[in-house]
Amino acid sequence: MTQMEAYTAFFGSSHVPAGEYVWMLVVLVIAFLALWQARTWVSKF
Amino acid sequence: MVDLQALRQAEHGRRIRNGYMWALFCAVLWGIWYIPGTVVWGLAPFVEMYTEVASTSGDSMALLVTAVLITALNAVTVVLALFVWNGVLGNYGEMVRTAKSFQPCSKWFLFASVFGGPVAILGSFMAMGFVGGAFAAVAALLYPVVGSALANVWHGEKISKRAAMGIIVIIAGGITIFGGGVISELQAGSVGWIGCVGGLMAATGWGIEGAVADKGLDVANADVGLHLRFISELAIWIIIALPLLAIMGYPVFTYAFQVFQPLTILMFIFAGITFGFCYVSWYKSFPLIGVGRGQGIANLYGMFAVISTILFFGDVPQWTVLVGGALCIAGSFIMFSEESLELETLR
Repeated sequence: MTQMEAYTAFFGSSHVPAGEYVWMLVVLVIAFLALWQARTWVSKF
Repeated sequence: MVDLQALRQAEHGRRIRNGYMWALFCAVLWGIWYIPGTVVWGLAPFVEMYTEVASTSGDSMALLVTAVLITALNAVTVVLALFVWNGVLGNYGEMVRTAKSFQPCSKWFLFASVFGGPVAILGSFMAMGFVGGAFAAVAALLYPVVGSALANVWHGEKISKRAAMGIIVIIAGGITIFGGGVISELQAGSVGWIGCVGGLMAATGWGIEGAVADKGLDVANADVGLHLRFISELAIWIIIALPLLAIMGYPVFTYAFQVFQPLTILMFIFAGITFGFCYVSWYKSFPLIGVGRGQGIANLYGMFAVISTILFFGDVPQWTVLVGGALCIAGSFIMFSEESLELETLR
């Protein structure tokens, strides 16, 4: 089994379309939101 | 005319809302961390490593040794992710100043790294390896009890009846989510004492870490403090744990050099972002709402982990997940709805 096959096997039953890529997008969006909130707080001082 | 009292109360309300927001960021990111944290076990070189160690030392030891290497590599990407975080916030100068002030503040982050790293994480993997995953999850969920009790005794941090009730309901929710798994794990075979010690280490380790770190956060910036804590943890894994395992004959360094494969590295990058940003949010919540409330809300990670695995791995939810999730949400509302003036002084 290749690395890619081993990876996609985890998302075989995903309820989210293209789940193997979407979760990364979700992480990036939440991480950006958190960083933006931290930056907004810092910029007040 | 500006009403100073009203302004002070508004500022106080903002501080509390921010504290809960950071604790919630922690819970969500911690829950999502389970995706890369699970996938990496199925990728090279960890599959081969597990098989090789298991063939000579058994499954439990293989799990422990592989977990130490994965945790050490996770710490590397967490440190890198936090360099981005602190770079964006312009904190590098502050980092150097905090690191130099060992006695008043950075020593607390060193202690925090010992309790949060080797004690809690290793304990969690011991519980997982020698009893089971659900048992490890339930044991870890108990850490706010230790954290809030210690913060109360040590710092004199106040914990209202309402907050205590919220924490208890969230813990009950978490136990309900994983409870079915624990029963089947306990029925499946003999429970090794080493697994129970691991569970105790996980519950106490993270609880103590919160109380210890909060002491350092009295005088240091949370973003910087957490970064120093992870640099210390990384040093512990690389300088002490991995060489110790290598001396014991486990091929940790052989496999450590085999991780440079695109998908494995990608998983560690995302594990670093989720774990690093979750941990920094956890630390940021402590000075704003206190250790007990911060850890209580962060405990919602159990629910978010289950939601993540249902959504992306297609796991089928059991009724216990729905009841446990409802309890977690109820516990959060009990805490969120606490009158902010009750939190005017945390200690």
